[in-house]
Amino acid sequence: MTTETAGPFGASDSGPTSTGSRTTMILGIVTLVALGVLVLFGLILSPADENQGDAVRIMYVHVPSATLSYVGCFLTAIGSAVFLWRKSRWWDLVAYASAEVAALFTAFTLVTGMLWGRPTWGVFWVWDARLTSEAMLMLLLLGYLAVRGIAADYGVRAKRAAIVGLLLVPNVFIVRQSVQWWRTLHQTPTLSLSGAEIQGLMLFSLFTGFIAITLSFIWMVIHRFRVAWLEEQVDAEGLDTAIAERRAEGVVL
Amino acid sequence: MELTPRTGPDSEGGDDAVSVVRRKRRVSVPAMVILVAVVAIGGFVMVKALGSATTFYRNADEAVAQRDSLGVRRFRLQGTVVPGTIAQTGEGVTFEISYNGVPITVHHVGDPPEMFKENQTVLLEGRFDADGTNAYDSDLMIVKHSEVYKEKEQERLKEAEANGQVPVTTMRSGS
Amino acid sequence: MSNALILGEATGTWPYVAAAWAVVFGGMGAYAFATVVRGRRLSKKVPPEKRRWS
Repeated sequence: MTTETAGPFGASDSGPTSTGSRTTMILGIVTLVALGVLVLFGLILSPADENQGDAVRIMYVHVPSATLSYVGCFLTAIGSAVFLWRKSRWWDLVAYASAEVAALFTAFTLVTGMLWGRPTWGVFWVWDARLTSEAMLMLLLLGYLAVRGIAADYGVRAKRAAIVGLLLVPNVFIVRQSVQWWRTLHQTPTLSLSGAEIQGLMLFSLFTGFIAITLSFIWMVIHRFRVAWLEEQVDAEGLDTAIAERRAEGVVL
Repeated sequence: MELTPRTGPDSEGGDDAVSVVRRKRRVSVPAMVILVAVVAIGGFVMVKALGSATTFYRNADEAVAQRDSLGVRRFRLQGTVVPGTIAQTGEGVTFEISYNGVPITVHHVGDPPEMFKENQTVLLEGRFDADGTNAYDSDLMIVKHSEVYKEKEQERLKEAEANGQVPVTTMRSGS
Repeated sequence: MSNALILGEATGTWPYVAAAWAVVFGGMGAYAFATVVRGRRLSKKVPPEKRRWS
């Protein structure tokens, strides 16, 4: 190679030097615009609610965060299933990346939900079925991420994680149905197949929230996936180097 | 490939070495501790909370029907605040709630939440009065809200502010 | 029930709204930044032909 200025694989080499690409650059710009539109409609243009006043604005980030955390859980479950079926590393990393982002969005859901609960319900938290099952979902996602950190060979670790990943699906289903199955403080869904209990600019703001948060989710999963991919490569490189070093030093393994 | 090992032995046949090195790189006791904690907390929460989820609250009519068995046991009560029954007391507020036409008089200790008003569905924590009547002593009030959102009508609001009162009903807007 | 209640409601809920939005936007921003930084650092250690996006 011609230069050694920026490390062994510096900018002079072909290939990207970050997790960004042309596609994610464009996606990132569109996402930022969508987030700007969300702020405009969610905080400024949309009206206050008859009952809740301005607290209703929390819905525009709370509901999309919750929805995308479910999407993340499903993506993790799909990745886990394909990994178990075909031993595909690519899908294992998709599951990993998506689980981490899903955990982030679940945390958003919990925190924004508490901040919404205080001015409307009068309490930050109640152990009703919806809130409890959502907290369990958070714990399961943390469990998934913890399993990935436990010492084991790649295959063993990925397999354990994939099993936890599959458990996310029934948990999401419980969270979703909890307000129908049990008596809860939490209200039933505003948007359903039978129609929307919200109209006009408020509905549009919620819609904007879904678009902006979905785009953010996709951007984050792609970048997190690439980080995970790079980590795998570094691990492999480090391994080769370590073995070579040991051989050179005459260590018997 | 510009990856040049210090020496050049073939790196094949090192499967044992691979697993040894990888295990050393991945040792992580905190992760194991976190996992155990997560499973324990999750199990506890599931048994504790979802087990009693069906009786998370009793509606006013159910509570009255179970008056004898409930005694002075603590439970959550749900009902709709009956208009014209709200009165301030020294230590809080007293009002009537009803569900399916069955009313219960509530003596609440403490400040009610901001969204507390007539016709609002509320969730109370407390117990039936020890004197054996259907009066309910509450010390925690939670306001329920529905999944329905309606635009606050600015015109009516301004009008109401001018008259010094809150609009009682607001027409559904939009569409 | 008076004006004060309406005004109180209006001013009382905004801190919660602001906090909720700050958590989501701040959280996403911080996560995105951390991920990009990690990616840049790791990219230097990986041969270009293994970085498959462009």
